[in-house]
Amino acid sequence: MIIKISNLVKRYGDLVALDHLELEIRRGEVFGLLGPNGSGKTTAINCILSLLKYDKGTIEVMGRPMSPTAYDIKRRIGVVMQNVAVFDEVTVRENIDYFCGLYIKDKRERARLVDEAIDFAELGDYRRFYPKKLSGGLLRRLNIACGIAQRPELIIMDEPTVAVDPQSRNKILEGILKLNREGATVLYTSHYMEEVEHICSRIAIMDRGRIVAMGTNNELKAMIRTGEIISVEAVGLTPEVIGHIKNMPGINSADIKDNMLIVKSKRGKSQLAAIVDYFNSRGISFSRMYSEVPSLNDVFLEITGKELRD
Amino acid sequence: MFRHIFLYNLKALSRTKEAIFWSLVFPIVLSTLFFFAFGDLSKADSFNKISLAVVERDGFEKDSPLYRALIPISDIDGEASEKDLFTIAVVTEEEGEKLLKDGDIAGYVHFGDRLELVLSDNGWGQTVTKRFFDDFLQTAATVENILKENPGAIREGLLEDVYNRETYLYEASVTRGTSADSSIICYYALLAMTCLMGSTVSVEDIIKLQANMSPRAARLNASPAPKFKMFLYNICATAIFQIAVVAIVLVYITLVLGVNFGGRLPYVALTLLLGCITGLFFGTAISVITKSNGVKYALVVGGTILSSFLAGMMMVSVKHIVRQHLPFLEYVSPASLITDAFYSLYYYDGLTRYFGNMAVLFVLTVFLCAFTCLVLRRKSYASL
Repeated sequence: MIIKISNLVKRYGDLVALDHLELEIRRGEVFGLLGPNGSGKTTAINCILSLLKYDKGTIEVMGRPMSPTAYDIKRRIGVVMQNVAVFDEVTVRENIDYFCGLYIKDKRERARLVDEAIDFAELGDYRRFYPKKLSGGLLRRLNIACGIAQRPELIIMDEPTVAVDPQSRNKILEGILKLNREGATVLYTSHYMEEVEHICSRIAIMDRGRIVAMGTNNELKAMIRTGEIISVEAVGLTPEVIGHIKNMPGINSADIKDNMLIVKSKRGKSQLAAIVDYFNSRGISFSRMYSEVPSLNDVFLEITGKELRD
Repeated sequence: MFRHIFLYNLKALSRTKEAIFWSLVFPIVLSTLFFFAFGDLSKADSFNKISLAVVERDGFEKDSPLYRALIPISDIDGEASEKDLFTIAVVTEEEGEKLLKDGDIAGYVHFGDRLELVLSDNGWGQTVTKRFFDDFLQTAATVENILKENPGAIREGLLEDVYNRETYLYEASVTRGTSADSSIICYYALLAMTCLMGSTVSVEDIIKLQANMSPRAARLNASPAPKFKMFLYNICATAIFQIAVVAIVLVYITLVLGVNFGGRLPYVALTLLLGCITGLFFGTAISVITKSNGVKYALVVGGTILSSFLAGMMMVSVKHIVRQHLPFLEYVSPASLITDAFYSLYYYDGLTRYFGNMAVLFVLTVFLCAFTCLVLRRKSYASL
């Protein structure tokens, strides 16, 4: 295990931010910590980095207890903070060089690593720019470059794509996968389920300071009763029609949401054909009807009773 | 690691507009304002000789009483000295009128049956001249009366020195032969304030290392560089920056504005050096006790201005009031200590008082440094 957290408790006054958290992250994986804002993801990361005191529990990183003075462990960790953490008074290249210099003493090696980080973040055209002159997406890429330039074994990324345009986000995600392929273990937190689904080999879903579910993407989806979600846009969806669909075999629920009928069916055979047949038999015309597999949001919704984005 | 952090901090500081403004531009602007505000004040303190003219006529002879009376206090005999009250030109009446009209002289004197003094508009030079000639006429009248009563007085030598003007005041140098200038205390306070302005820069050295203050600080705390070392390296760079800034301000005040601090440059430099370091730790000590950035800066700027106020920067009299009524404040106010050290150098021959101030300043600096280190050594935080 590269990170092992046991029975971790962190309180802010009466608020329990981490409630007996148990977590193990394996070497070489991209581990996603998914949860809504305030679920305890950032607090967990700050505890792992020994930036925060905690009330109870133990944290081991790379097989040894983590502490504020565990400099030899810190040397092997790269950190990408949720907010951009760079110096405004020095240029893009100087920022990367500064943070890299805290890990790497050799000037020549550092110069090589800094250039690689600039290439990785595609900041070559902006190396002499000051951070204030960069767009939000470029700033985020600089923030990442500052965290990974020294080529750490473990990279901890706390919501690195918040407020980033789609193009930059895709580049960042591809970059993370590249780092992982090159040997880095990545702990990635986000409240964007699509990102986590896309890059993470294992995912833990957090709510109110606890892990409510953990596994691969497919394992998590297999934990819930819903096997298929059918969305229908139609006229004449009366309560009688909705009630009838609810009572059809293999159907878990049927509700109107945003003028769409959302039908959730149980695992197993698709119910799409049965619903089409029912609409035809009742002469109800529909403009759109499509079927999806459940998302991590559905997993979260079914486990916690609330939306991931609430 | 030292070189890396030191150079980057120095680079960042030299590019920080706020630091440049408050540490360098502001004191230079303020000293320039002082220069213009106090320029006339200093002029009022210094004495300029009064220009007069004597119209050459029959009555004006080298053995006349007025001529003899003017010799010790003017250059009428062609021998000028620093003690002279008047510079006198012997002119024709037309020339005298022209000089008076052009404002080149305060007045001119006619000799004839009776002495006639022609003065231009009012002014202190005219007042002094009038007082002198009134005195002369009064003395002449006295001599006339004596001669009427005792015609042999001249023969007996009783009136030999009657027109001589001697001063019986002895000018004792308080210290080092420098003339006291009350406006100099404002420049001292300004230099003290410039030293303390380093506190606004050193606040940033703390902010950038306290993980609960910024994401950047959190990133630095997550790095393998020990926080205490980073603090030391950063503060070294800030100290160099601040010392350079103070040196520039000192050069500007002494060489460009021509303010004379009374020599003793090595001691002045030592005072500024210690003052800068005190300023830096004043900023860090205040910064470590508060969490809000706004409060940090408010306390540091407020403390600097208050300390400078107590040192007499805004009103010279405040320094004297504090000394009389609240002397303990002088021992905890860095600006007062720095100002007083300068004051001691300027006014006193001995260095006892100067080193006394420096010792107190040093103790205060050590205390502020120790306090900063004690609080800063905290390893992790209850909340970020």
